[in-house]
Amino acid sequence: MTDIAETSFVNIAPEPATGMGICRLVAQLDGEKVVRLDSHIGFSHRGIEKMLESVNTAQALVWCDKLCRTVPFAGGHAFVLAAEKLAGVNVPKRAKQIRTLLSEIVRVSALLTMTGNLARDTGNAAAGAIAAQAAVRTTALCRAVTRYPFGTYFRVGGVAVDLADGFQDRVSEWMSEMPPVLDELKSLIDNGIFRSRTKGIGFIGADAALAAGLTGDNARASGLKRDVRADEPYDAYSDVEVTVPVANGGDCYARYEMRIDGIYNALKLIDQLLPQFAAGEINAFKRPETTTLTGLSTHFENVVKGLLLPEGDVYAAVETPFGETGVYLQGDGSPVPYRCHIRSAGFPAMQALAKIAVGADLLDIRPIVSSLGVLMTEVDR
Amino acid sequence: MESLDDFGQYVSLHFAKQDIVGREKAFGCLTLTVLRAALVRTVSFLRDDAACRFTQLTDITAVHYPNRAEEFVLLYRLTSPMLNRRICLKMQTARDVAVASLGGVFPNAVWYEREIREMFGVSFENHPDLRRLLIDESVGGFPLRKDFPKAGKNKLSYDEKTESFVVSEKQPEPQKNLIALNLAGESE
Repeated sequence: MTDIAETSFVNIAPEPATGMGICRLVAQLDGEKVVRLDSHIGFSHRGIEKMLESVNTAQALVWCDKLCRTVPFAGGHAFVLAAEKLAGVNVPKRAKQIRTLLSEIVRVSALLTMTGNLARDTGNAAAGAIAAQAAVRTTALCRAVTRYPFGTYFRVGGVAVDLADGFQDRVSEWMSEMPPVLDELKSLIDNGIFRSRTKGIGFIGADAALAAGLTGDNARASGLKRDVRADEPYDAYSDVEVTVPVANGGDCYARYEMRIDGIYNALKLIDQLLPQFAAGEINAFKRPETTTLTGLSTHFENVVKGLLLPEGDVYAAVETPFGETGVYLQGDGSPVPYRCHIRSAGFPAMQALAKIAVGADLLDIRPIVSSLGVLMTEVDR
Repeated sequence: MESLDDFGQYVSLHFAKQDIVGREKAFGCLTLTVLRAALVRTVSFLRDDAACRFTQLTDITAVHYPNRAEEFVLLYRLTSPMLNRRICLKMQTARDVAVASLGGVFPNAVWYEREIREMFGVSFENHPDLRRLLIDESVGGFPLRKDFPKAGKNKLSYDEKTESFVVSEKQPEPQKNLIALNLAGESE
């Protein structure tokens, strides 16, 4: 243990890594080495769980989708799955496929953003800009095929509106654009400088990652073969083959590799999914004919009252780019959840940071935090 | 141990009858209700036993039931990545009783317990660090308790004369759930 008189304290704030949101890290330094790190989170805590206790499921989605800005469906997807399980809703096949497709497209965008942020934090602004450009194109594709604002596109029972005509062509066109962009990105990022900044830095072993509660890419980078999409398939993931890549490095470089693999995986999944698309309903709850008075009043009542959540509790998890994001939902027979808790994937990662960063140089804190791919709005809820 | 029932039976057999009070399964997940005194023992067993191998703590959360004698239920969610299985432990606890911390079994329990303490006011013993985590020290009370007003207790405003922020207490408003619910005839 280093004597406290010989150490100094450094405040790393307000944004310890590019694009992660507001957070404060207090590092105790011995020279340049980090001896202890304390993370102060909660700057973007909005009390979503408390607010979900006063709204019905349709209104709750507005909050859940605002969990994080790069992955608009992260919280909403887990929430609709939980509500559907609890209320016993049978979701039509097409709706499941649409949700799966959009989750994967958004995953590409989020993983590109994370990779770009890591590149920026190792001093490679050009790669960051290219990744951001590709991410923006992906977001534009999402807008074009859904023709709907991001928040509340996923609904309990399905989705809000059907995909645009000819969406398959648009998605295929975007898919053909991606490999050259990824090649360019990789050739720009993966050089000697990047490797010297990431290899062997921010190491966490398999056992420690497991005990720290890491999930998703962070866990796979440490050699844990775990993916909610493959292990507990939800929506249309049971119809496609999900490959789970694993790396053994456990360092920032391994996490970068997992993110790039994740992009290729998502593209493969979309490729498998596109020809399977079934025709049919997009929501389990049919909208009544609103041209008649009775139909209109039924519709009004449905919207205003919301879905009744029966007594009982349920946990549903989805694989988001951050890892496993889950929603615990407890109903009491009314449309308003008695208790709704969001298990955020970045929360354990931020906690594990104290362990991962010890022994690293102050200079390496940025890439380490960046490689964990956390987003503070998702951590703080 | 193919079915959840068999598995639940297997776990129960390793403990005295009063330690694991209840066993239910819902939506493909086994839920055990454990006694406060047996919590750490049960979690350690589930983590270390070769047939269980719940080596990851996924989540801890709490639910407040103001009308019960033991008003909090703590939920511990464990995952076994090797066997691809989940389990949930439920534990009842009261306001003025300290719960044993799981920090010694799973290091990531520390933050979850910090969050539960600041949100619900459940206290933990043998906990290394009980500072507030998500909300500011100046926020009084425990926000996720059912008796905490949904719109908050305090009002924050800026006083231009003194050039500082002023925290004043909010007048208690009649709690309306929603216009929507009132329209549907389900007022609180």
